[in-house]
Amino acid sequence: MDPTSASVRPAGAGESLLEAEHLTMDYGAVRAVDDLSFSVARGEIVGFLGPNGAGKTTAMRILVGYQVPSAGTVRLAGGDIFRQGATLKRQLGYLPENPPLYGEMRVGEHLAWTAALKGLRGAAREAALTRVREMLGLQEVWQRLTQNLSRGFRQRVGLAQCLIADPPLLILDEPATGLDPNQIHDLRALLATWREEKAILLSTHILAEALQLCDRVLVLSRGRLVASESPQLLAGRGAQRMRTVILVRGTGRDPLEGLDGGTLVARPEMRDGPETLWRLEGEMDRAGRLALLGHLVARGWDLVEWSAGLSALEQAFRKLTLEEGGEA
Amino acid sequence: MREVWVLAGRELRSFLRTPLGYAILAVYALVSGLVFVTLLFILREQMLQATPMPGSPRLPAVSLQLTLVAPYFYNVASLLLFVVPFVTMRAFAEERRSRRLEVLISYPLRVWQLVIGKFLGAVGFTLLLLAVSVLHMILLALISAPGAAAVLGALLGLLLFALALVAIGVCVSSLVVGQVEAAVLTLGLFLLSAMVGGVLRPGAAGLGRLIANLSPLYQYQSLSAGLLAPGSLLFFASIIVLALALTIRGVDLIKWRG
Repeated sequence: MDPTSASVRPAGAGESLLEAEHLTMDYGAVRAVDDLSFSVARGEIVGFLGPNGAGKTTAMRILVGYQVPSAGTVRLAGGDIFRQGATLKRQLGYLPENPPLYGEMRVGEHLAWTAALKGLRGAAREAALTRVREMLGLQEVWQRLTQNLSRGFRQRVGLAQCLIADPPLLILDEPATGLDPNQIHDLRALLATWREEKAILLSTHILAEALQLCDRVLVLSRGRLVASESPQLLAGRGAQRMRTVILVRGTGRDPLEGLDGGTLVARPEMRDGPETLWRLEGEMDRAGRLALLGHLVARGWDLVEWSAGLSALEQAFRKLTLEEGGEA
Repeated sequence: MREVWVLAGRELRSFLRTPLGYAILAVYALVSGLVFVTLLFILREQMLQATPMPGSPRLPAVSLQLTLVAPYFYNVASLLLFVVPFVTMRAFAEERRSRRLEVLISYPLRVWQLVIGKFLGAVGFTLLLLAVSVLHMILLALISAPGAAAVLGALLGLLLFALALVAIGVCVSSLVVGQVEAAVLTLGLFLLSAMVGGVLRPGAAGLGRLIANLSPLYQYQSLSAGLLAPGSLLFFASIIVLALALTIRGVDLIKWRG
């Protein structure tokens, strides 16, 4: 294997496959999407974050051509989706939240039907069916009616529909909803394998997923884009102060003795012979947490548990959507 | 066009795989069968009464066409007013409620392909219903001579009438969310048009006559007698084209209204 191959990007990498320009959507007096502009290029996974009601679903409906925006344009693979939609949509795979399936159809039949609608015929269709069946592990349910599938398999069939024509652009709305931890792990692994060859817009509520998978996150609040940057950078914004809970055990009088702990409060929880279990709780910034850790280790306290109430990305998300989103 | 048949095929199969399809088929077969048998009994009574007793004056011969064929097709057409709303209710209204329409629109399809596919699927199932009536006419031909031209004319008229109802039903389904709402609205529209036609028809003139003429059931009356009136044929053809064009516009409107 060529040692440099890992760094070689496929042809077309970096090519912008989805461009939203100044999208606005009004429902009467309510503005659901407000001047939203962004792009997604081949070779990147872009997270689409926002609280419920932020306008994510409306924006996604516009992006797939289901809704015409009050203003703005959507360019899919370089063409206007509302003018050349039927042809351009061959480049698109869309998975809505809770993928709707026809319950009376069997899995294989459903996917064959989808393939036919997406223009696949004969041997190409058979090859596509085999590919998604194996990629998503659908062999055991291939002959089962979709109405009898578990939540996880329904999601996988939805993904298979999305991938059947091997489109370069994927728009996935909450793909991990309802999946168990193993299935979520498998899904993330799949998404990671598609990263190089596809452009993926991924709506999610799971911030850890965004942190782990996405090259960039778009945060939407009240229809407006309030952040567009890498999740690591975004997490940096929220890492300043974090609610921290620490359990330590030792024989000392007070774990915080000799330390300026700020708002940190120490409370004895339980005695166990000469040792006492202490609970330390309070808001701390990164420097404070590091100083505390050094202090506890130096004084010989055993660290029993260390937890943070919110992750840095969660904090940044809350800050952006509650404050910058405009508590008007 | 291939995508249209793919869509239509799935629509038709879904009727044959769900209890709703069989319930509709059973109701249509039962009621149209009852109409057929009842009319056969009436025909038999009239034939017995028309048989001259020795010494009595000659009575006019009983017309199979007037006593059985025309009333049968008219009653079956009335039955379709109640049945078709349940055939078409899911076409778009249920797709929209379940968010399947969102997925379909994300596929490389044109709106007209979706509309014609849904329409042809519902037409396919309606043809199965009409096959029951064809069976009744075959039974009638085995015991009598109803007149092939009149029966074929009435069947063709019934087909056009049914296609027009299906096109209207699909159109209504594109305007609302939820199959129950679509069925109730379509049924209400059909019954209203039938009532308007029935109430205004006798001796109506001017606007009243014009409104009565817009009633599909009224327009079907001459066709049920096997008379292929060009005006009525044109009426149904226009209804089908207009309703499908409005459906395409209706689906486009969904994209504008969300």
